[in-house]
Amino acid sequence: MKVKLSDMKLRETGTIQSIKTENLHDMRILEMGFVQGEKITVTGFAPLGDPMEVRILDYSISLRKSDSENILIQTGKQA
Amino acid sequence: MNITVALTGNPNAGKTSLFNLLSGSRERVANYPGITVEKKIGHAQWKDNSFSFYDLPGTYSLSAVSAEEMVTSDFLTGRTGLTADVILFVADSLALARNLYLLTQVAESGKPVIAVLSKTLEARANGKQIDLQKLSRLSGISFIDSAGNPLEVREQIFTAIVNVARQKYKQTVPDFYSKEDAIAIATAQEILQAAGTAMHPAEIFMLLSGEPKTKKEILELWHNHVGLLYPGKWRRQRRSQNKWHNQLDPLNPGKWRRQRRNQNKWHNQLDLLNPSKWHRQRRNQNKWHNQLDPLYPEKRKEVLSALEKIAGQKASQNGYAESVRRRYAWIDSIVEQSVTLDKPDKKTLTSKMDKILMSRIFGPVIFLGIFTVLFEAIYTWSAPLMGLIESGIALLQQGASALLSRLPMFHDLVVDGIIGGAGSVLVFLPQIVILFAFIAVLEESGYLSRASYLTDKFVSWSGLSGKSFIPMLSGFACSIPGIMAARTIPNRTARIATILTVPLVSCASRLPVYMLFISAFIQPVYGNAAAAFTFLLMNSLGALLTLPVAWIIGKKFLQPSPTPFLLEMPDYRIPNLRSVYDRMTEAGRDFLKQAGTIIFIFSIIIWSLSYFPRAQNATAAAQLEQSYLGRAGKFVQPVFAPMDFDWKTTIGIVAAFPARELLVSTLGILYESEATADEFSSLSEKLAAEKSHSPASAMALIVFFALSAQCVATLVTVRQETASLRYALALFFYMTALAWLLSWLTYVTLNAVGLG
Repeated sequence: MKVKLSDMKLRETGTIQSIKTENLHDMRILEMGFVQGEKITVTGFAPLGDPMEVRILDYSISLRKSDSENILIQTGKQA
Repeated sequence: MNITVALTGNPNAGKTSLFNLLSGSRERVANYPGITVEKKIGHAQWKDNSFSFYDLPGTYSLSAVSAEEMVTSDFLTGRTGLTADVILFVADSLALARNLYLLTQVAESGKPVIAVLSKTLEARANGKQIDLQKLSRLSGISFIDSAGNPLEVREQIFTAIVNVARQKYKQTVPDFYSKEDAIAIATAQEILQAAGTAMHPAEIFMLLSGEPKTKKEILELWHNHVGLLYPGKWRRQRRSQNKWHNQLDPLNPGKWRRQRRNQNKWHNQLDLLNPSKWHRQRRNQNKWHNQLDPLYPEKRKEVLSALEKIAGQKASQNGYAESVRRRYAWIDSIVEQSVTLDKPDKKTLTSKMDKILMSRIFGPVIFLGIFTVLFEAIYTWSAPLMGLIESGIALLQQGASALLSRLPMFHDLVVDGIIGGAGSVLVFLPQIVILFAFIAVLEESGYLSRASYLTDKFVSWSGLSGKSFIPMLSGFACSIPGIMAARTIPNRTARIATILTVPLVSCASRLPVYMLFISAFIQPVYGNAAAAFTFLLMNSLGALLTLPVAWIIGKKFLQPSPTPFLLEMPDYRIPNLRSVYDRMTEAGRDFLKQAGTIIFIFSIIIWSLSYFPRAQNATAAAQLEQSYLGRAGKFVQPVFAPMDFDWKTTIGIVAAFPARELLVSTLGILYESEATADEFSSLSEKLAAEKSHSPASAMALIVFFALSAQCVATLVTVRQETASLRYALALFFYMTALAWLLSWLTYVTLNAVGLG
């Protein structure tokens, strides 16, 4: 099942499918390790639900909803 | 052998501690013009070799998204005429894969690279074992463990550096580009070479393969960057450098050092070109001079048109994402083989701590607790120290006063101008040092990122991020430490917007003004409750305006920076005392050296304006009235007439330009009362008796003082921290205009509703 990273729930896990790369800002997120096939886990949300904290490539990083919306994740058992 | 070593790595990878370990003597170097990168150079001797270490700013990728990040690729390509013999790469073992990404790019430059693994002890505590030999063998880059006896580690690193510097080998990594892309990159390199510059392959590939928007952004970055490569001021710089060359005895390096100290300005310029190797440096400089074509505008155009030509080319479909994926695929396979986890799903200490510290209920509570303490510290703890400085200054003034009583003018210059001026600088020091101690502890421990994470949503709409929170909060004590604290914001747009709005926050030195006018005009007419309410309102007015103003500044006046809000959440760790101390002393020294001298000069100028011309046998009030300062005050009175301020008040406004609280003492002189900032009941009675202001006019004055940029020290600090006079002037004009406007609105509104 494909979902946006921003729609994922706490402690949910998946692998990265694709990420929008329109500008330098997006490219940098890609270079931080948000590449196709990497495993990603949602580890927390700030009190107002944004930003979210994720674990990827064995490190933790937080990103805003405006960015996590552009990242597609493959979750759950593959059909 | 002289070896220049550049330290690079991700932000917070531990570069600074390695830098401290390796370099004995250290110096801090002026910023590049226009950008605000702290650059440090360290020197060391080991056996027969002398080393210069350049501590480059931390970055995640060589495909820069900001001018600050371009410094690293400048260094690796040598396009500014400055380059390193060996690259020392610091890799954080807690986020190994992501750190190795940058390493693949660094290695691509072909320069010899030595990687140092940092935080290996913490990694081990988390159950992560890294096999260094395997890592080195698989990656083709030699890794050194930073844990262990510091002296041995130092020895090991020096040996490695000397070895690779001797071998002069070319570092190689696998090719991460497709065949056609590799050819396109090579072609681009030729175009750049013809234009007399260079780019790192990763930079070129981003420009080749980016979407149209990306290409445009890169060209914009370069548009500003060529100014650095080919500075318009080069003629003047060269002339002054030559002057300095001739003064230096090239055969006497010992004397050189002493001279250098005297000539800080040239020193800074020279340090950009490597201080330890005088002869070679001079040769380099000449090379650099020759690179500067006298027709620099043409040179700039040539570089830019080369870039545009490259941007016009295309790389393979989805090429950049594919190259990033290939890099990570390579990295993942290396990490998989060389890293073993004891218990794959072991809960780390950090995740346990975050369970409490970042929980939805306790998280904000603990956050508020920590920041209450921080605020208390800068506000209250600094008070005794500031008192001590003030009384020390007063003592000095008394002493000087007694000594110089026979020379009236000299007496006033020394006592009020010089010693008073120095006091006005020194008094900020305790707050700055305390704040930076806190910031260092919070940052090193890993909590600062979490604090930004917790507060981000509250401020993100304005274009700022959670990182602006500490600067804003510090602003309540004093704008100056707040502005300096904005150093922790990596996004340039957000940083400038923060710097330009922190001074709106009501600082401690506004309080005497509020109190004086509230007690003279509001309390007698409307009572205690209204007075307390006004006081509270004025204290929050500026803070309420910060975010809307930041939004306007960011949207209308600054170019949006493409640096995304990506907040690494590092593992918690115990702060290193050495680096906390370094941060404190650095901030204090920066302030004293850079801002301090200018503030000092300004205080003397303002003092002279109030002292001259002299009137015969005049009272202090009459003297002030007819001084240049007094005349200026009377001159601007019409501007403030709509709010019904008389000339005494406008002299006060002009005199308070160096510092707000001077309004009180100036009015004290003009109303011939013995008021000081602490004890102004007699002044407030006088003001009330003369009915110099209606309540509406008094409120208008308070509002004006709450928002205007009446503080030279703030303006000077903004100038220093942004490396641009433009921002300081912008700050002054927008704050003064805003203050006038809201002051007038207050006056009109209060009169309209009948509270005048």
